[in-house]
Amino acid sequence: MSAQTDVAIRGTRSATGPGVLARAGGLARSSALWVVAAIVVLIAAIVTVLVQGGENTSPLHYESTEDSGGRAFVEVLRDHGRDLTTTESLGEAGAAVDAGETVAIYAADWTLSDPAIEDLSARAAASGARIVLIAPEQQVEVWTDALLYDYLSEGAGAPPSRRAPNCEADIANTAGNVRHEDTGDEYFSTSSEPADSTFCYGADSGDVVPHGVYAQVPHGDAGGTLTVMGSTQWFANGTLAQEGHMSLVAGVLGTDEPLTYYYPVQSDQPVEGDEGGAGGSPTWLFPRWAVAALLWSLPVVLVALLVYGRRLGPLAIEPLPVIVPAAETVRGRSALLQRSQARAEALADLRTAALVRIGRRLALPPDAPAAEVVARAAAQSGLDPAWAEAVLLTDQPHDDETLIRISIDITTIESEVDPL
Amino acid sequence: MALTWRFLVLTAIAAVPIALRPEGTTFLVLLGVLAIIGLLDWLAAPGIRALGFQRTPGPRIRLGEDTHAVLTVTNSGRRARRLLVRDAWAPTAGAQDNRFRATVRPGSPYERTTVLRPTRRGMLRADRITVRSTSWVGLVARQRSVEVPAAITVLPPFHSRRHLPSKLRRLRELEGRTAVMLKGAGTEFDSLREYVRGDDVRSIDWRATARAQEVMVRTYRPERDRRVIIVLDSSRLSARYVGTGTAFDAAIESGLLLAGLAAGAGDRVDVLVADARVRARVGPLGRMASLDHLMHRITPITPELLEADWETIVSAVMGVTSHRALVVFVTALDPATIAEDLLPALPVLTRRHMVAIASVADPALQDMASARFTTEQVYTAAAAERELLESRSLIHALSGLGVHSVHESPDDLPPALADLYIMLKSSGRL
Repeated sequence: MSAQTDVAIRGTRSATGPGVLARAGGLARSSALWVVAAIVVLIAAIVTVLVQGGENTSPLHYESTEDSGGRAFVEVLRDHGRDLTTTESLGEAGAAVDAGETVAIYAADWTLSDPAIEDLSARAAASGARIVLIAPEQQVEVWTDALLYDYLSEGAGAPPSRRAPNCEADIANTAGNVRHEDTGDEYFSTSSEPADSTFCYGADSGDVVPHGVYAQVPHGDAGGTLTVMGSTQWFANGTLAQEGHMSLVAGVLGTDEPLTYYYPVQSDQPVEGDEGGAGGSPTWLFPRWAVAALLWSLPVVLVALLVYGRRLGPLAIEPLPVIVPAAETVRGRSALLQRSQARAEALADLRTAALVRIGRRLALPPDAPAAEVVARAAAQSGLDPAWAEAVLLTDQPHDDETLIRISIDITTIESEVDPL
Repeated sequence: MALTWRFLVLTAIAAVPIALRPEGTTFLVLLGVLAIIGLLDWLAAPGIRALGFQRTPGPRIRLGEDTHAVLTVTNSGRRARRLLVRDAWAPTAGAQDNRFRATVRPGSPYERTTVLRPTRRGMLRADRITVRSTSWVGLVARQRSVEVPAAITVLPPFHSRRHLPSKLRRLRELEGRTAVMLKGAGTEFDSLREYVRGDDVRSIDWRATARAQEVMVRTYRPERDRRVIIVLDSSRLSARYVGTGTAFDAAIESGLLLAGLAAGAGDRVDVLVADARVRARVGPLGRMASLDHLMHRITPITPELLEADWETIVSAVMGVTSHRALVVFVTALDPATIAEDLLPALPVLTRRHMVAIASVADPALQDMASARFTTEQVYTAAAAERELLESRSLIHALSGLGVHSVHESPDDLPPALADLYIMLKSSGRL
């Protein structure tokens, strides 16, 4: 017996334990393994997100490393020692314009609203800033009165996809040929003899008005200029190295002044017809951090639900003994009497009960006739015998009020009868 | 797995980096980081399998008293456990603040006494023990519920025991009183004593008077070793809620008082609890027997929604003894039941035994019968009067058959039944 116990104890406390396979199987079944796997997957996901940076992949955005992105020219210029600031804020761009710096603006795709353009244009004219617009298309006419945009300019057949400078500007001639595949997309001067203006890379359409994909016109009286770069290809990561694009970009942007690259976003621009200058969406009314914190309240609420919704164990259940309300049958009978208007039956019960009680109180035998009980009760209590008889025996209840009156009278007579 | 408020605080704090860098990536990264922290803390929380639980229920009590149960938690693991424990009991066991925090170290068992304040009679079972274990950070807990069987026994309150001493005293006063003396069988000679004024002259023992030169009277004492059979009806009519408890509770009170009284008087008491079947049979209880055993047997029985099967009950009563006995039915005075089921069986019983019926009156009926100021009240009063009349006429009919009956409110039924017993005893009709 003791030997068996000994073996049993040793068996449970064995140091060697189960084999490797058994242990591996146990490990696979244990939840800890799956939790560890989940942690590894989560870490991998976080690292991926952080490495990719969640960069903005909009065309020509200064963070984007896609082919259409604009990070390459920004980095190249910085490598060459340019003091280049990037921003998405209209306010910062406006400040740079006011400071008279060079400001490159991504103007394609209607990203700037007309009121914003008018504001920036006026401030540039006042401060003498150099504005470089990247593919402003029709909106160039908002920027300045000196230029027109024509996206269907006639050509003699398909113009070559590679354009020669076709002008005397140093920058264009240094850069050489550029790509421009579309037929139109050229900017025209509004006067046939513009002063101090340069138009390059125009298709030879025989038009008398100066025109080109690249245009530079004076802007305002303070010595500022407005330069239009007609193609986004010249700036894009994928095509920056082709032809003379980089050279052209460096030539246009490569002065010594500080350079700001403004990439407009919808959220902080004034909208036409809006007095306060606020954006169309109500989220504009709040600072971004407040909106983000508000969004974060979703996970917080979810966690709160999980925290306070989790019970500490299941509800304690108990089979309780049956309990039946006692006077249920009495109430049922009362409701039946009332519904069938059985006043006579109800009154008969009340009278019988009262007569039985009075008879016992007056020490009458149980088989004494009702009339005798009534007579004795009236005599004993000094009440009118006729009235007592009417109440206790003869009166018929014709309506509920009579019934109530008679039953109250019965109680009165009962209370008047003293025991012998 | 269960999150704690600390995890909620951590999540709320994570709003700060979100506000500082309001980007979608911050969102994703923070969600991931929170999930990782939660999972790591769950891994760090010690497991619950290494915990051992033991429940030690406290002593048996009467309803209305407090008892306790001791919960012992042992830790066979290597690390200390920070626990949040819920020691769940059935709701009517009335466990007082049964959620507590505990740190259980290996090798030193943790003991916790839960005070129980039961609200009903019976065997009240313990529910599961639920344990949450956290690491020292305490963000995410492991949770598990364990079944640890235990039960406390709550005996009937036996409020009517306060009547027992006075009733026993009255019984003892009967002993040695000449008034007890009756002719014929059924009286036992007890002793001789001197005549005092007021004694019945018929009990003077002339021979003893001649020998002692004093006037001596014979004294008798009430019969002993008679049989008393108490039948408690646990059928659906006993489940009625009367006053502050069910009719069955009042029946138990009456049965216990009568059993205690009769056993104290030297009779032998059998108690049957029956509805459609005999659910408990205790006895015979003699003078030395304690009521504890009886209470213990009655405790787990509750009324069921069944009709009483009077044939079974009567044959069970007949099976108890072939001697003459006092048979007390504690049941409901329901005219239909009594007329259809009990009355046909009565002649067999009354031929051999003395039969009494005790029933619980509903005090609410009196109130319903006395209010008569609205139409509804009048009809209710009529119905209540009808009910009272019916039970009164039923009692009348029963007494015509030689059946004694007691019909009182729950509080008055036990002493009234005891008085009936004393009356029968003193008149020598047992």
